Amino acid sequence: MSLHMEQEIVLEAKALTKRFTLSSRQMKERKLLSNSLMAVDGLSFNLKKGSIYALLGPNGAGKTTTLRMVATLLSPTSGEILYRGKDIHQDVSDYRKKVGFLTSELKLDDFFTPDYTFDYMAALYGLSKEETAKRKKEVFERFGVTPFALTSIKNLSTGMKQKVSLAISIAHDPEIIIYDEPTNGLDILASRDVEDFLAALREEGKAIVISTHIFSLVEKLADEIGIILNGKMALEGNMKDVTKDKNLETVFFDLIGGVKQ
Amino acid sequence: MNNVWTVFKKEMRRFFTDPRMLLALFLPGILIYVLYGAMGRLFSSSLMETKVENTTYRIAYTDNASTGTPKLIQGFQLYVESAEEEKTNKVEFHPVPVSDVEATKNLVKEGKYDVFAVFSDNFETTVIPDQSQVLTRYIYLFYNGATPAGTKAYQNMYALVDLTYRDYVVNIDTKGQAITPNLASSDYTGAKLMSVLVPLLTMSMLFSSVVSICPDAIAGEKERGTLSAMLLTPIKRGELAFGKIAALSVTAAASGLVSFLGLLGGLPAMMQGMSISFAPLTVVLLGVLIVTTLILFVSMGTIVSAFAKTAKECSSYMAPLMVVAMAAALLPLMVNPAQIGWAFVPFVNVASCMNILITTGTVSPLFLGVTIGMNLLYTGALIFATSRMFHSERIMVK
Repeated sequence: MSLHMEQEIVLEAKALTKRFTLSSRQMKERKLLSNSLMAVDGLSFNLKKGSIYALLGPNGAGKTTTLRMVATLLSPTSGEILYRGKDIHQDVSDYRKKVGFLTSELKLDDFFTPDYTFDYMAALYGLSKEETAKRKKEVFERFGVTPFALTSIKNLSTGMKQKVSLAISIAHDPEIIIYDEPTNGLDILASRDVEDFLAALREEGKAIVISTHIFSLVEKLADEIGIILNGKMALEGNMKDVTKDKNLETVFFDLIGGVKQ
Repeated sequence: MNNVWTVFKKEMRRFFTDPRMLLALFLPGILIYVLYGAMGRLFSSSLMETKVENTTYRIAYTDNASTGTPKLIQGFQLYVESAEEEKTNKVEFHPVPVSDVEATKNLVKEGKYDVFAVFSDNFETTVIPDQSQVLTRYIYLFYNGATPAGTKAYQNMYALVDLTYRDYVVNIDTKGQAITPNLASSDYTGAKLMSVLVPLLTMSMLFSSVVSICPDAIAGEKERGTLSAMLLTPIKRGELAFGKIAALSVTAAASGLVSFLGLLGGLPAMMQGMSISFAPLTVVLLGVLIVTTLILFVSMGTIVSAFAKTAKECSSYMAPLMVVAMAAALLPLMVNPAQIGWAFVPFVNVASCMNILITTGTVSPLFLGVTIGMNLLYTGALIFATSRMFHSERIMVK
């Protein structure tokens, strides 16, 4: 998909805000005097068809919270998320069918096989047995899961498990892909697989948003970048606009330095 | 409904493909059987080993059973005079008037008598025309359990009741009335001891089944991140909650059934030498009692699991609950467990039912019914609360 042609906006996040009420224990842990924490503060961005949007930011910046709101795991305190112009909470069930979500924290159930896990998730997404079988064959073959599809997950390597997780996250052929720290904890080979996977999904025309703090991944894959600091969008745009021929890492640390000062 | 079934099948598959979980679910039932049998043998052998030598048994009895010496007393004399193990022992009998029953019971307590047999008037001569009048004919055996002589004399006289009055059996109330309280030390008798031990062990084993399945079911999934994946699917959260609870309940019920069979098989072995009757209705109700108790435990475990962030945190929250269940199992020891009010108190009602069953051999259907009803009511409330919790992002999102 060409980056230069006018791309169709699939999802719009408008002035998203998320405020958490903290318990006294959380206040103590975070050394806060107030029990209210503004995790995301007025964030706006768009996801386009056949494009990868990378949310970049230090730990605690609000990346995960933002993605969780887009995925409907959390509800925004204020602001709205529009899928093709319609608020996602108007028909959340329908919207969820369009979304594939994967987090680095996801572990698969050790006692199941990739084959069964795929079937189970596909069933929850409402796929028929025939649709599931067809889609499974297609996805497993494409991502090299077929050879170990009937092996218990507990006997798979980390890389194999990641492939299974990725395959399952697109079991229902979602239009929007949300990956939170997709290469976290992976070795170079497994990370490369993820990169290839994301690139392939972009080619298919998916609208993808990822969060990461790995600059090389962003530089290699992202069509657009949003740098979040303290829940606010500090900088946003396509790679060229954001870096202005500078190194992304330099831009990022300059921003952080500016915010700290 | 399809989604509930999908979640249910997945949970069942999860439970039944994990050997550790299978062990944790079904081992308690097997342990109940083995443990109760072993305890029964232990109690029985310790009683059998009671050696009484160079002793004179002092037996008191009411003089109202017949015009002469009651057959039971004659039988006991014959036994002491002829049994090899009693060759160094003697026996003396003390007929007392019915008006002195309470005073004589005190003498048993003080150790002046080993056994006191109280007969109903004209016990040996009354002809009971029909079953409805059985309560008019009875024998009470009071004994001093603090002394080996009292225990042994009681055991033998108890056995002789059945032997001597075989022809009278239909006319003797052997359920509630003929069971003998131990006047010397009420805590000392086996029945009393077991009425404490059985609820305690049963509750702890049932709870251990729950502790083994609940933490992983929700908190474990939250910890692994697999719950988020499910929450993001189009299925309703209530369906997810219900599918999980249904699977946990069925699994726990299967585990409970094994525990119940273990209890049913182990209890008679444990109650060796004691009168305990399981009417078919009582057996069914006892089964329902155990299964509903387990489901109540499961729904409690589920709500704790939903609240906890990790399986470990869930297990640590469940530890105090187990202590509460254990304390409830001991409460009937300190109160009158048969009071209907206790049937409304969770855990205590279950322990009370078991306590009453063991000490009297039967439980009133009303008490059992209220207990089971209350278990179901509390379970329903907890399931409702759990499904509400599935809608809370603060609770469900790690």
